[in-house]
Amino acid sequence: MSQNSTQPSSRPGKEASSTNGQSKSNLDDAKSFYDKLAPSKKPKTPKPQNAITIAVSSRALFRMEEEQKIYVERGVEEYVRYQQEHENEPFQPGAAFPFVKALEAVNSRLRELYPDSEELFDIVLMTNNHAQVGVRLINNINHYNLFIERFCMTGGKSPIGYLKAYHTNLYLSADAEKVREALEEGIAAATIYSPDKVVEVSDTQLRVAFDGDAVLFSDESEQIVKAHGLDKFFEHEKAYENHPLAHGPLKGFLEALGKLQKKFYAKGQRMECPIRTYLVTARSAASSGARALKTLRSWGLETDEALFLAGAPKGPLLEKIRPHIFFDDQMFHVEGATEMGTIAAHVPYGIAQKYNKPSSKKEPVSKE
Amino acid sequence: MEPDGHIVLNTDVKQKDGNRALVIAISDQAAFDLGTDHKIVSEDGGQEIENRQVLNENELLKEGRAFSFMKAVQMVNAKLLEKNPEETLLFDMILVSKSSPQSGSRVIKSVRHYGLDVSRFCFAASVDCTNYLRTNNVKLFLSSDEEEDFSALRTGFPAPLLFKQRAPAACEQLKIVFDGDTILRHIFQENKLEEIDNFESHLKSFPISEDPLIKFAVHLGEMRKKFSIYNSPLNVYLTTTHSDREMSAMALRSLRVWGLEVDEVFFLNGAPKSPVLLQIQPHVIFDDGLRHL
Repeated sequence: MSQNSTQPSSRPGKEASSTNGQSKSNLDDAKSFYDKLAPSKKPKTPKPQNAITIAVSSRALFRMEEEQKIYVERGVEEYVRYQQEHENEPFQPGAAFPFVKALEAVNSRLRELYPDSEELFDIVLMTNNHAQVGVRLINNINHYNLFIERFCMTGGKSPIGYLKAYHTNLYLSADAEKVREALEEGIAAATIYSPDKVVEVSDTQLRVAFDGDAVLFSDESEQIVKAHGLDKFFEHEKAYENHPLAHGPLKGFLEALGKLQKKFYAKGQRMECPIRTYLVTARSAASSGARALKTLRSWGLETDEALFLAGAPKGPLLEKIRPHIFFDDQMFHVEGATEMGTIAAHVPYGIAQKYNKPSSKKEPVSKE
Repeated sequence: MEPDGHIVLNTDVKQKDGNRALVIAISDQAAFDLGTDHKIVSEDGGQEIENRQVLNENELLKEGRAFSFMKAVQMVNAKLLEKNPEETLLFDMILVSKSSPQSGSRVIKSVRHYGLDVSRFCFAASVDCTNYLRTNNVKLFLSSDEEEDFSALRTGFPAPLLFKQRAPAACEQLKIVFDGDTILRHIFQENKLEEIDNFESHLKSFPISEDPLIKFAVHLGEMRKKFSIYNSPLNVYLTTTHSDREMSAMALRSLRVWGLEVDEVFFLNGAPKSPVLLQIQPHVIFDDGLRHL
């Protein structure tokens, strides 16, 4: 993506480069106007091409069940009116809230160590809410002192085009439809769910847990499980141990986390690294696990911990880990996690989607 | 159609109520692709241009940069009239041309051929149209960028940028982008934020009639209210580039206080604006900061 700031192409025949110098000084003038007007006490947000861009929807960030009900039952005009009437009332934090807070904690640590670097998390509120609901959303972000400075409110239109335009590294939404659309466009995305009970998570260390197949890896092995059962799967994986799996939708996000982790290691902070990653897989250490680890290694990636459950439920283990988010392609595991207090996100990718039982958590297409 | 001085009425089109309509002036060079005619440097006082135009009189003019904007504006008018056939809060388009009425007949013919909702033509060859535009409540002037001659004429009217759309726009929606940084600049002028005791009352006492851009925004806001929240034929966008969250929210709230409820918002806080604009594919953009590029 070009470093250059905006050039509306209303001038035929004028090369962008020839107006560069002039444009820069005009924009600098504009910028210094704003700096004088309201000198910002907040740290500068990074440019999208340097940062890891995380887009969250409004319903992922805040709990808006009441409002959602009004939207579904009484229509959009009522819904917007209600939001405007309650503009100064805070929402309860939503599923992605702790995750966003943890991202900010990592950013603070990164800024301490690398004050000039733009390799940070950049959080964008990406919602297809109408802009008039935006005032309440911004009030809430002010209220909770969240460090979100970028907003896209697309007034009912799909946000997918904008996600692509800003090289979004991860999109979290409460709306499964949008998540599916994003995945189809090659954007890492997941439908995030609130846990059934409140469990405390760290506010100093970001913890991210990933399922292996159809999340970090492709669903090629998953297909074998579905077709031939778990035992055949274990055999197959042992045989193909040295063939790396193809990558899955969240491999890029793990990679981005790894890049930031290395920045802490470089400053001797391996033990106190504020990012910790986990692989939580139904694969077994005895047989199929090796292929997973070897695949990661072949990509130059690793997770801090790798937990091989050999088919056992993931809930109890996740309860111990307390991640800020756990990604899995199967609703069965997502539900198992949330039942035990883990914030889980469904990645609707691959063969498992054909077998997913309709979940009680499925909601109608929403204003979010 | 008999020319009356240098103002010509388009009798194909119903004249609008000058007090209620949102009047827009558009130069013929923006509306149409005038080819090389207008580039001829006339040493003989414009006679050469006149001669060429008269010769080409029967050739239809090709669509220009502002054409899709005009069609979209027209579409909004049609939708307004659908809702209320007696509606007076409509867009009113005036075509301004540097030609004389004689050579301008090609422009008139083309407008009529395309069925454009242009109510009047102002031929400025030897007459200064400025006064006419001012006394006729013009709120907006659209011209193509190379027209320095029109710069004097344009003074005092918001002159948005015409966005180069990817495809000749399907006109289901008129899309107008306001730059929030520009709006804030108009609100605050030289004042600092701290110097303004009460932002709300500052807004309420703001001399809207003295600020053409805000005046336009307010009038547009009235029209936007005629349509529902979704699937409105008129879509208004607010973008900010430099302003932080607090300031951007101020721009959003200010427009709301003045009656313009924007549909979509993009607060970019330093991120480049072009990806958003490419996604939106607007017709026009109001942005002071880019004017001098």
